[in-house]
Amino acid sequence: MSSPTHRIDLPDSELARAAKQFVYDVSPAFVAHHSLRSYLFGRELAAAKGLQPDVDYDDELVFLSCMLHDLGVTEHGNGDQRFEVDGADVAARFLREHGVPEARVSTVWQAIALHTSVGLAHRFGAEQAITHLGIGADIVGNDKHLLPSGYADHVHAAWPRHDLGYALAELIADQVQANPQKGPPLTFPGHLHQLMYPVTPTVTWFEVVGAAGWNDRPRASTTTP
Amino acid sequence: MRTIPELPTDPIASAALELARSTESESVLNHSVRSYLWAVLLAEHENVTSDADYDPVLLFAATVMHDLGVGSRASGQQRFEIEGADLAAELLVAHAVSNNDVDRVWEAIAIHTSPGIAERRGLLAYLTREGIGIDFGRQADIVRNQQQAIHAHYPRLAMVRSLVDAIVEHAARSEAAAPRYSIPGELLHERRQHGVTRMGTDEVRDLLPERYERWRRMTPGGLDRNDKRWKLQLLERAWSRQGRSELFHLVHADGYVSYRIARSGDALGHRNTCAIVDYVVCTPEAHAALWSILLGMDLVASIESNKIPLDDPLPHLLTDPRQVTTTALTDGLWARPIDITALLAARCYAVELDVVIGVRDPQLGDAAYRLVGGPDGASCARVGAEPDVRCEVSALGAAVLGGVRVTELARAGSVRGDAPVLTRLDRGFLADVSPQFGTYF
Repeated sequence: MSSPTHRIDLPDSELARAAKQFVYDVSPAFVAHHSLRSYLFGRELAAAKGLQPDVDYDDELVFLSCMLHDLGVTEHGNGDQRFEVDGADVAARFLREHGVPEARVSTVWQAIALHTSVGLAHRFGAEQAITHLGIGADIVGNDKHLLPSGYADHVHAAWPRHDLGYALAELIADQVQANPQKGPPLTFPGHLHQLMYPVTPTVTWFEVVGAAGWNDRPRASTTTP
Repeated sequence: MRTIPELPTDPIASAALELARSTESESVLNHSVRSYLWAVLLAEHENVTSDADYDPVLLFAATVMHDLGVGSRASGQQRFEIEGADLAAELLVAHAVSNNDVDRVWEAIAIHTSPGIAERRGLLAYLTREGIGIDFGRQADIVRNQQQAIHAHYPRLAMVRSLVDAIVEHAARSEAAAPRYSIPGELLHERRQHGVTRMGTDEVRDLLPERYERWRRMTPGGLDRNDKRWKLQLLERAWSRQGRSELFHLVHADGYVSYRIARSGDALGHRNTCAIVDYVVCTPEAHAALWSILLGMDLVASIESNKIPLDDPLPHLLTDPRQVTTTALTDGLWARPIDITALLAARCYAVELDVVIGVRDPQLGDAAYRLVGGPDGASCARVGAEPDVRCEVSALGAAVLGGVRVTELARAGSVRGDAPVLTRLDRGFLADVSPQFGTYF
């Protein structure tokens, strides 16, 4: 617990515990594990960039944003909007039910709604930026060289990946296939749909996942070009 | 009911409009103003103009400044949406707008290309995105009755093409400006894959002069073209068409080709000729990309041009270099030196030179000039010293553009001096790029 390579403690406020429980209750394990790892990686990357919890950013808000960020891919959270926004809405509802003030809800909503918007999310505030960092590290390996040595292995041993990059792409693409308005053109869900239900492959997600260096492997049911 | 909503006249609105006007192309500026007008009409249509958070000045600020990120003040280090939002915020802060309102405008601009998200961030962000969307034809039915009047006031000027071009140019400046799955990133990717876009004359009026100017600055002999010359260049008249098609343009980020198609006698047009009338290439990449499109054109059997410079690398790009034949040379390029000290000091020389040149000029008078120069520049002064070499003023005019060799002129007797000096002068005057005559007059 004390060694930096083994720092995997989580915020233990009642709200944080409830959020984690909620995500594990309604999500496949690979989604819940990914959400949890995103927080841990985000916290380490923030530290690597010289940011201190509860000085430079609100640690609980980062945890909530990361933990709740993929509710939109679950059956529980799937609605008529792109998954990021469906997820942001479910998270906001959860937080309001737990009496979280509106300004804090709004930060989490933005962090989740923008979590796939590269080049935008990092400019919306510290919590939104760190959430984006953590998720980006866990999915496509962004900045992973800044993690303490051995840290990722340690985290992956506790919360395995289950070929996250491919499993998540399948879920999102299937949602768009069932309801095309969930994947507008030139968006991340729109891209995944185009990739998994091929019309014209462009820059492929699988190239991005392959380059992440986390060794995610295609699952038996995944269609690769 | 009035046809066109009025623009706010508040100082903030005037400053916003002025910033857009002074940093954007007219086409992008008109798009921005129309986006405001559509947004107001949409707000009226949806009955939200009396909502507490409806604010026409902030709406004007967000819509009119939403594309500052593709204007001349943006650096290209972040996405254009963010750079535009930052520039807009800077202006609003300078006008003492409250932090909360600055944040709202910033966000509306930052997420205006984010479908499904902008619509969820309050009335201002919603109206901003949708107003812009109407200018791209989304839910245009709502503004059917005002469309004509608004377009008459603020013409489109091939808005989509020039905006896409501006976004791509911005996105190409850094990796951060063009992330994956974003509008700038995908447009850049598409443009890089093909590199070249075919456009009509109305779409290229803003695009060609900038590329021509860049080419002119790197090409000895390249002549300046003013607005009138450009008008003439792009004019469609019987005498310029000579029975051929209208002008088409292949536009690359670093060059372009303008051409007409001449139909052959064959009714099916299987042996058409493509006549290149303007040929502007700033980089080898643009050269290769433009030729790969030109050589792949359907139903074209031959390509002709009197604009191709003698040192064009095209033959070396082909499997069969002999497919390129020079059928004629046009002599359009010569200079008549008048202010010789200024002329010789204005260029660089391939090797270090320190030489006194005696120039024989029957009209303006003979004189000797000492030229001291090299690859980084030169200076020149009239001197009384005995010349190392002597030349005719016409020979100097031929050599100074860097295409005609001093040794060649010496063999013709119009430059005289000792062999070592002539050889050095020959090397010094040669240019890396052959002079090219780009504009007939």
